[in-house]
Amino acid sequence: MIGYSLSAQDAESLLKAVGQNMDKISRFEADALVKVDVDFINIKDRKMKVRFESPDKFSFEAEGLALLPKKGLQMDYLQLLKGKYTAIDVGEELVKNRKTRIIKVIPEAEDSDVILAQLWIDTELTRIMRMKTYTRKSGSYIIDFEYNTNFRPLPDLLTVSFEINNMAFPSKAMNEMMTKGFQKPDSIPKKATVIVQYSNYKIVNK
Amino acid sequence: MRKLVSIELFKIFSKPRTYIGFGAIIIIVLAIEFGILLEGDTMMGIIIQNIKDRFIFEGNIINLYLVSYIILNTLWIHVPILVALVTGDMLAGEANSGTFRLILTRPISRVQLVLAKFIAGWIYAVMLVAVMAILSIGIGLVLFGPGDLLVVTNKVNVFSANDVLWRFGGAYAYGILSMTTVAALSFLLSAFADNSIGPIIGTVAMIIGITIISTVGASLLGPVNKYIFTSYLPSWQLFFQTDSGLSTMGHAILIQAIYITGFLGVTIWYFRKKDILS
Amino acid sequence: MDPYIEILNLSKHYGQIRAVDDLSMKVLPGDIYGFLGPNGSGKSTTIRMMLSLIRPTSGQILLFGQDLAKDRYKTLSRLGALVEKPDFYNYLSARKNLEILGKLSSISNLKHRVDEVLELVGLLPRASSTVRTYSLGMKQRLGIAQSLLHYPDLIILDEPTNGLDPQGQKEIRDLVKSLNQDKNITILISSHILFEIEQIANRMIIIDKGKALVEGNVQELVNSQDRQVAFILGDTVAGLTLLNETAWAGRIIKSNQERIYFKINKDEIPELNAFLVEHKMQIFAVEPVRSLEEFFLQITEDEKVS
Repeated sequence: MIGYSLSAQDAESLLKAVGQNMDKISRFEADALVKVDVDFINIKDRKMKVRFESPDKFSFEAEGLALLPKKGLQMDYLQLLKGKYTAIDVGEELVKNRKTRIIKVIPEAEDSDVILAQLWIDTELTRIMRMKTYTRKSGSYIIDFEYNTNFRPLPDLLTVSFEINNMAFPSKAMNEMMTKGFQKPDSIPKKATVIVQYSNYKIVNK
Repeated sequence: MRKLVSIELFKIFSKPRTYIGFGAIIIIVLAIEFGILLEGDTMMGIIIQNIKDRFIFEGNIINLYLVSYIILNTLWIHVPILVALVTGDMLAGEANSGTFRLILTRPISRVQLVLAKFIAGWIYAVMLVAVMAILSIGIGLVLFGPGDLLVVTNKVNVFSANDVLWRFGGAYAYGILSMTTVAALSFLLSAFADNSIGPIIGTVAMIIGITIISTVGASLLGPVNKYIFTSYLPSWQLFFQTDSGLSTMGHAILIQAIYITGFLGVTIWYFRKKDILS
Repeated sequence: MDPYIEILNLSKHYGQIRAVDDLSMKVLPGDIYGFLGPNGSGKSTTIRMMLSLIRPTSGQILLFGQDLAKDRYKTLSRLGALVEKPDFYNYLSARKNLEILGKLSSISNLKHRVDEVLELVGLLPRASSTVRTYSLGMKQRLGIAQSLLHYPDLIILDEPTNGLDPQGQKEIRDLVKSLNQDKNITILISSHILFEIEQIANRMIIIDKGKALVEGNVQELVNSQDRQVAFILGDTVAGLTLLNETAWAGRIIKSNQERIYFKINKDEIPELNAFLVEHKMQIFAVEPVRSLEEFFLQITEDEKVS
């Protein structure tokens, strides 16, 4: 019990430390390159400007039309960590050669969109290496964070993976119908990956 | 020949029915433009509902190119009717009004007359498509402004604004080819009729009927479908897909060209030997 | 000089129906040539073949000595025609209609020529009105105007007075005569108003069921046949009693209270007249009923019988 309680406290402290790391940042601006990889979506890489203002205001300015994943780009974990939750330390794992602690977070608020989140936190640099989120409205997401420097909690590469339901495409249907007859679109969800490459960070600390 | 074509064009543009076509295009374009202005978000929301569950769209989806693309979809529904309205009347109308007795007793060749009429009818079809293009882009520019184009064809395709104009150019050029096929078909039916209603309705009925049969009976007609011209009327959409090769478009153009030549050839052959009894 | 129209053994069959059957005829330069026949006799079909609107099944058509099938443009450029009822582009003005037709015939100085022909047919004041507003008579005149645009040597008029009132018919007849006499235009005119053919034509052909029955000079053809003559007697009954006992009885066609109708030739009229006077019959009038109409009816009746 004690061990468990200690573990819970450690887990919470670790999460708090991650939050505090981010709280040091008053605002930042960065260039981003968004690559969308979905079987049935065709879009070229999009350049974007990302702006953040503490505590949680994000804005994006894309060249043309950009598809951004609903979760992942807006540091959703900050919202998660600000509310009341139960944290459970479930072990350790190496992620990209970094020692990480795996912490399950269960929000206590009944109206929370997040049902359950699992975070892999780099214990040394106190920043998130991976996050897996299960939401009510937007399904589940896996977000991988990559950092090129130890000196900031902001990632250089963000990879958001999730599943998306297949769509019916009229042209494809017509083409197929002409040769094969009526084909129902398969209902197997497709894998989607969005990779965001950050650069030229301009950070203003508090 | 130029003289004959200018005479035929003069006759086309002296008839009220010609302006029905242009009026209808103007109304369709305005209706779609203002409809999208009012309900575009809702409409797009339904179309991309699936994606909206997982993605945020950053940027202007409802823009001049999207609206122009939606208007282009009317190309193979409304415009064939408007084209047939004039080209279906070009020979049958003369028979009905008895004016063949006047013009065919002049020292001109029947072949020249048929070609001149077809060229004039084709010019009308081109103008119809051109008006549609200019109006949709012009009004779209004023109401919506430019942006990237999101279309749902064989995939969800997002084309950058600087990658779009040539696609529209190609699509409208192909649209003109499709409408030339429609014009040639209605022209052929017009040669056999003494009244323009038959060719006009016949053309539309054939296009719709063949499309339905080839769609519903696709598994039976599979190998034949790729030689039926109606299968390629909407092939302008290939300009808004990314994995269709040149060969697909080339095949579509070839099929259309063959049908145009065939329809026109039969028209000329028949009209040359036709007894003018009207 | 070659005949302007020479038709040799012309036939047109529609399945089993022989619309024109081995027809031959000639129209000479300077003629006003009457082309006669009952409705459905093949007149319009023949005219349409002359104008290459219909293809013959067999036979040959020579226009100005040239085979129509081989040199259509040259022959048609010397020919004007009005085929059946005059149909124009009703949504255009008379002037515009003629300009279009003139362009098809490559007429030089077109605008001037259009005004000229419109004036000739009396339509210049209404030149800018749309044809839709024209009466039938005006359309007929416009029809003749369009046939004159390119200074033709020959005009073919297919029933040009159809549907016109007597005044309108006379105007067309006068116009046709003046075109022939003043402008030297040869005219082929078809009609079933036989009286007017008799008024203006010098040569004619009568056809029935696609076949030629007779062709030649109008007056000669008419005069060569027995005529119908009506005698108006003071006492028709007494006259009939007298005549019935003589050979003249066989020449009586019919009689009524006022008239006795005889079928006799021109030379027999004074003979009959002398016989009646000799037998003290009062003769109030001798009326020739015979005309081209009768001739026509007779010849086509004879054809039916034979």
